[in-house]
Amino acid sequence: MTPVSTFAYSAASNLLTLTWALPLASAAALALFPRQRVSAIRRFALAANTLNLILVAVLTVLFFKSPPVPNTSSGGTETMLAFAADHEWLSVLNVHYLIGVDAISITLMLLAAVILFSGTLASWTIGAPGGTGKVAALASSENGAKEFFILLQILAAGVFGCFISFDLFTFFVFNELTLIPTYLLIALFGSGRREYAAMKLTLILMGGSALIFLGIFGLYFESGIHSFSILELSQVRFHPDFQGWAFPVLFLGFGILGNMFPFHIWSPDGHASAPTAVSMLLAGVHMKLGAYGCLRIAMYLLPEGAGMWMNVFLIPAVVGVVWGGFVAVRQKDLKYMNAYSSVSHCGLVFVGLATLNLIGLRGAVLQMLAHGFITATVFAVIGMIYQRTHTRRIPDMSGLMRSIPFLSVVFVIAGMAALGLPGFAGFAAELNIFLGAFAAAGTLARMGAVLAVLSIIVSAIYILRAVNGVLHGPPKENAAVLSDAVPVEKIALLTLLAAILVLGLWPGPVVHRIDDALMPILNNLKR
Amino acid sequence: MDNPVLLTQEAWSSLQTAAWAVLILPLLSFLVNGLWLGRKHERAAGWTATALLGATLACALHVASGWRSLVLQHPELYPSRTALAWEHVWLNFGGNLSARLGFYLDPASVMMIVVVSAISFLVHFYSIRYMKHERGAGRFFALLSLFTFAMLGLIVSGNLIQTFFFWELVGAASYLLIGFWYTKPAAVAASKKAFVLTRFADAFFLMGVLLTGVNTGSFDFLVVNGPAAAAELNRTLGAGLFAFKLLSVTTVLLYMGAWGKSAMFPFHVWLPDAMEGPTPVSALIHSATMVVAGVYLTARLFPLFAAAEHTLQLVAFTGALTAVFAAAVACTQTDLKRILAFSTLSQLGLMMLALGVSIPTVANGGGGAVTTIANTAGYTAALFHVFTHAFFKSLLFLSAGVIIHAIHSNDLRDAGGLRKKMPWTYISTLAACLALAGLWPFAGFFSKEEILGAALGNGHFTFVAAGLLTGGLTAFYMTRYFVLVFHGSARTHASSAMNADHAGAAHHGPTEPLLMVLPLIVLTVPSVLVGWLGRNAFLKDMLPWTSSATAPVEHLEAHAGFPWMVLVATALALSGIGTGLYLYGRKRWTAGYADDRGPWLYRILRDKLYVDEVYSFLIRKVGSRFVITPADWAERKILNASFDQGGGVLNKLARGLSRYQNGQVQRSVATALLGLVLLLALYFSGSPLPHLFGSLK
Amino acid sequence: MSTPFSTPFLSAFLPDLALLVLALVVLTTEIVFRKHQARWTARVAVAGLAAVLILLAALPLPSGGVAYAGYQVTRSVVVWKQLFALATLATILLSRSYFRNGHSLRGALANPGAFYGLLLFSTTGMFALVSARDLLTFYIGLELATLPLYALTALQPRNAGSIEAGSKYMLMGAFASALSLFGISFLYGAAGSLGFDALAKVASAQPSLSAQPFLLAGVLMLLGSLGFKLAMVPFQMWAPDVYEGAPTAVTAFLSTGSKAAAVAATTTLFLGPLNLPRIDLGAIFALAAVLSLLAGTLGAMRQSNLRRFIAYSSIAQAGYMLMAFTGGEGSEAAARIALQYNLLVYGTASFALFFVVSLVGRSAPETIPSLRGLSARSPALAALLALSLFSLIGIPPLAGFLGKFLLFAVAARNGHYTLIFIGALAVALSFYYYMRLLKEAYQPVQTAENRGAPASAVPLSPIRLSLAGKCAAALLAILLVVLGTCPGMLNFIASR
Repeated sequence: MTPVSTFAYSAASNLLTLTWALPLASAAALALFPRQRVSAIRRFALAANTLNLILVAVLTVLFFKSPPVPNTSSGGTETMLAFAADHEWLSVLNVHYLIGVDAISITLMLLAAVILFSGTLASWTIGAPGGTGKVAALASSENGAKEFFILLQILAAGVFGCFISFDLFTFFVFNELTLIPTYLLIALFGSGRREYAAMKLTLILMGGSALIFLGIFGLYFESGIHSFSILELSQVRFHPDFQGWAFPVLFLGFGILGNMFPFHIWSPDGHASAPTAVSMLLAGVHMKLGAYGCLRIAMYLLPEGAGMWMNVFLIPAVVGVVWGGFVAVRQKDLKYMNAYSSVSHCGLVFVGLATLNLIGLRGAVLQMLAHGFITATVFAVIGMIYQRTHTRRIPDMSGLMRSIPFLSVVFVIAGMAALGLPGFAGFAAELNIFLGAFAAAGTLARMGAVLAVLSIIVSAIYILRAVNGVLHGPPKENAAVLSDAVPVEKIALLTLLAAILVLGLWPGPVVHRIDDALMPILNNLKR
Repeated sequence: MDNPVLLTQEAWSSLQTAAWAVLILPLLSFLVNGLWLGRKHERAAGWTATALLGATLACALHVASGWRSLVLQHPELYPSRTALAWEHVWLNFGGNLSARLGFYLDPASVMMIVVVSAISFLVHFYSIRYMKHERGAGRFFALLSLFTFAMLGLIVSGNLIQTFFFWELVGAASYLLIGFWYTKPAAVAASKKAFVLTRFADAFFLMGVLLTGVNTGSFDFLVVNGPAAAAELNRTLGAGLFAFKLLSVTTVLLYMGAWGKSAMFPFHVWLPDAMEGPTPVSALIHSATMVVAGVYLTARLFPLFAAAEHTLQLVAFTGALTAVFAAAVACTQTDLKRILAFSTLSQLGLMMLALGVSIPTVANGGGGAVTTIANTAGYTAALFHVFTHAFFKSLLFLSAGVIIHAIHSNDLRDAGGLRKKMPWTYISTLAACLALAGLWPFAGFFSKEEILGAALGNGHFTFVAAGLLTGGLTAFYMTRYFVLVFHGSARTHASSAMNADHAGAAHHGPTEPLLMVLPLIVLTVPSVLVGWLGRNAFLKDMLPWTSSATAPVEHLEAHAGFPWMVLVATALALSGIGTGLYLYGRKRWTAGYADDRGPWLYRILRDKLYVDEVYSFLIRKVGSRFVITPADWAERKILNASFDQGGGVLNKLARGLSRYQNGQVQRSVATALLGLVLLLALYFSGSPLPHLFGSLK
Repeated sequence: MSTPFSTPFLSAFLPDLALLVLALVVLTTEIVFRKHQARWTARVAVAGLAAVLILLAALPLPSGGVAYAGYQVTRSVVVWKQLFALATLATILLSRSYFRNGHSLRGALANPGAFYGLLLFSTTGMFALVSARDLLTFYIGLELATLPLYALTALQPRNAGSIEAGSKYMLMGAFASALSLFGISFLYGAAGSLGFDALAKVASAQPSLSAQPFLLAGVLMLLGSLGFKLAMVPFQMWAPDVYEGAPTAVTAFLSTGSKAAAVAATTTLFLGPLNLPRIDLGAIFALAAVLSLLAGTLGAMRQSNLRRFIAYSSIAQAGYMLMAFTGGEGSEAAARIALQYNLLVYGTASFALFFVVSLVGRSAPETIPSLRGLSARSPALAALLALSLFSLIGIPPLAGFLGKFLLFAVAARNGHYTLIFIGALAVALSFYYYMRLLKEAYQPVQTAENRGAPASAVPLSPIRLSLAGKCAAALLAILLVVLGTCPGMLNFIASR
């Protein structure tokens, strides 16, 4: 057994466990609250999520302050984990609670923590009488807040658990843990065709899980070492025949979760129906689990399979980039617009992965972060606008800039970030992806790169269409009665914008450590 | 190969501090006004922004003088007149490939930062009065400063990534400023059009940037423009019908950015519409600064473009086409600002033409094409024209702003007889018009002569003809503009009321507010003088950095050989003015027809050659009907429906099963027996069917 | 080999004997306690079963087990017996309220002595079944386990459905018995003995299946007969009718205890002496698993009757469990662990489900629409329902996930990846049909969406749980979570 490599702060592994235990514990604690005390419930949820944000921020700082990992550029294929811990869990199947983080997972955790924090603030009106408009009966009654926050916290626990797990079984458990809260949050607290959307989302995601499940069993039994540990499996050279079928299975499984064309059909309905915080968390973080799994599990453990199949997967990735944009142009519902824009942007993540070079992979990771922050911001603003106007249809709105300037300005900024304006996170990510794609070997990759670059035109079209339609133009008669963002909402949005700007203006330090984390994966791909 | 020298530590000086300040002060203005001041104290916002921009101008001048004394006076240290004030790595891509943020000083960038900060300062100052009664003035100043910051960042970038970074930012600032009056549907549509169209071009530009970086291993202009990079790019990719020269493709892609930003035909359609924005914005962004960014970029990459086979021809061709086309269209427009916009297009075309005609002779050396640039007169002329044009065109826009402010209309037909009421505006507009028409001794004369001389010197007679034609048309439409605005009698209620009744004018405030006229007067000076003052400095120093030392000498000699050209050009300009005076001064013609009447040529030009209609057709009919609609349809009816259909199939199967399983014991037993017998039979027959889900091992 | 009177012999067989005695005693309590007979019979049965469970747990057993004639007791057999006893115990606890008037729309149960006695006799049969060392004991155990169930199914004489179900069940059971007798006789013909040891020797000595058609025919017939008990396709068609017609408590026992016995019997035979890698029984089990998953899934999608729904769901669950038999040689221990653990968690979830059903069934027919508004009537009960359904689907961290994971792992071990994929897809689809229940439970009662149903038809009264009910609900909920997250129970089963 490969020893778990640690380089600092081994005591911090308990803090790492706390990142998922805290939301879970808060969910349990919330269950004890009397349901009428809505205010206390959301304050408690906010406190828990603020604490978690601080916790993850501290861990991130500790991580980035620690010295860089040695030996990565010299062909090492072992992922070095910070804050690692390893406990046997189920001896029958050699399942371990193996946790730790590298730069990729810690940054994604920070993403999750920030979005969770902002999401909590953005759902401040859940449970308030008449707050969310025509949502489910549960939400409009005073009973909603309790269930809502309990489910949100469970969802968060699953997400954090995934990012720290380096044991496939544990990873899978945490991944599946997110399904039910997602389903219930949409089905109970959503809007529109919420039950249909929730069921569609869950069924397709469970279909993806079926593939992941299959792949994980394959890895376990075909490795010959009967281990679920990613660290140990990464050192195994699987038979090419096995890689030939297991890679597409795993990549597709995670790809479905990661919103890959043509399996993205769960996401627009799901995101459009979900309540604001859930849309934020789903599109911003949960979807990233898919791309993260593609990178961390499919590509890292089955590098030869990646070599065989990546050109094939490039095609749906590029098609998704273009397709999502085209369909987004036609959407009238703001949430659908953003959901299809997510299809396009998540397609870019897969284009980055398909380059199989450092710049492209780094671009993919950056794009996960960038898209996470940006799409969460857009969903948050859309949700807040919806609360005020009770509509999300672009044709029904006009000239909101005059009545709700703060939200409108944030919408413009987020839109600009989404269309890849330099200075925002999206540009740094897209630049790397495009460069990686142009640098990748093969005509196909370059053709893909050309199409992917051209997609920035389409993104400009649909985003400006939304911005112009909703914010600009002559104000509607009833616009004067709308009230601008309250402090709670402002904090939520400003936190997200700050993240987008920081990542967009100073990507250097983050990228440097992400490169370190990508080197083992890249070295595996090269061997 | 000359390398730029990063100003060394002992040379760390006020120059570098000033260089930082040039970028930080406008940014500070943006942040202060955007986040705080602009929302509470709109008056203070204007003054604060103007003060900060004044400081920026001072810093820019300091940078210029510092560059002059530190760099230009030391050719032994900086043979290419190029230096980096400072540079930081923004993102590393492995190897030498990195995206850097720096402050690049060479003759072109020093000239541009001075011009941009000066005009920006004046426009800020002018806007204090112009925006006095506007809602959201704080936002206006914040965005104007943001634009200035982005433009300055674009100018001083020493590499393609930084260029693209600020290239997009100026586009976004332009978008926000065009749509400043966001409740006006026309302004909103124009802002979207401008952004999307330039974004379209920028996508190709980005591709060019990435291809350059990937293939040459660097984004830096200094490397990219070197012979090694050109040789690296000079490959043929593909085969047969799909064979293409990488160098040509890359340079054309890079030029696409310039094409869109400088609004060359057929990407010009956004610029006239952009006039929906406030007039100061037009003066700053859409005449003097952002639109010349394309010209500037082409000049920046000039050596690379020159190394490619046909790229410069393309540049010259698009330039000439746009110059003539826009000048012709400008003769028929009736909107004050649109006339100026088409004029800008035409002048931008001339600049591009100038760059394009500097076609080098290509000599084949051993092992590959080695490029030498024989005559860079066009390069110098283009940047010289950028310089002179900035002053008189922004002056024209600002004066148009005063006029619009006074008569509350954009329409030429509403103006008239304003000479007496607006003497300062009259004088300054006259100077600008003459400069634009290219009459001696006004600024435009010199730069136009340089352009024509360069074209002639390189033997491009077609382009010379295009330039001369443009010159004649320019003189004509500016005369038309000038005469119809200031002479004759007032044609509308607004202007006549102002003429007749002074009380009415007092009601609207002074006709020529001092704060607005002051910048006009200030700008009149360079419009008259910079031509002959700047000419020698440009001829001496404004050279692409790879050019040989002999180039300027050659250039001067070439120019001296064509004295008759000056006479021809002046004669054409004068005849244009004469025709204008004859037709409009004597009231033979009015500004235009109110309806669809008029000769066919007039109609075609007035309708701008129907380019907008072609776009509309392409977007609405082709793009929407054949791309967006089918994609949307397939998304709903194929992808999403397949999920629902799958559910439907399962449901049908389920119904069939429950119908079959009706609870009869006979059927149960029969099923069980059948299954058992079938299994036994299959097993004994050796069929593979029972192993359908068997092990893969 | 132990003698009948040695200590290991006693510790091995005492629980079985105790259970037999208990069954007889319970039959006669009716005579002793004329008044409150239902309550006292139940008390005696519960106490007795608790004693049996203690005996099973406490009595030491040599590691190799104890065998005497056609009967053997090993540590893994004890685990089976514990499972059966637990299922019976839970059934008795669940059924107590059905003897009271007004506690079910279908009418009260009568004859508590007969009811509990038959239940305990069935359990005794199961004990014998897993302890069998030859086909004769096996057959006797099988019949003893099944015969009382026919009677139990029909033990609600005033309910026509109950009678009909009982007779259908008995007809089908007779058919199954015939099959097993056929199979046993073929096997006897092939092996010349009924003993498992001899059978194993013959089975493993055959070079190919064509050499011994009788052996194969016998094996397949026995498989068919066990397929009835398992409700495995194509022998599953009785299940929905019987589950629907039987008294709720009996349905619960059918879907847990009886299913566990069928699985145990299949394990005893097909992971024991009849583990025939050469004729690739794994492929047959895989085929049956896929078909059962399909039939269960499709069937469950459209039911509105809760007990019919549960029947189909149990067919699908049988499909998952059949996957454990595809592991091939060397997977016996893993398969047994997976099955026992899975039955434990499946049983727990099922009883949680039946607990909810029994409470809802007091005032409404046991249909899915009756669940509407449950979350408003009793949030705790709705939560228990949710937990139980999520566990049945196999959502972590609930116990059902680990159970399924173990089953799939056995199939994966031998490379049945297609089967695993289908199984995982079935999990996804099972989400669809299980969620139908939960959707109703969390559906607000008074909305525009239930415009079809008059408000009065929906019982709105809050459901109040007794203290014992609360304790049971809490215990079940905790078990569902703890079994999935704490490896203790799994390790215990694995150590046996």
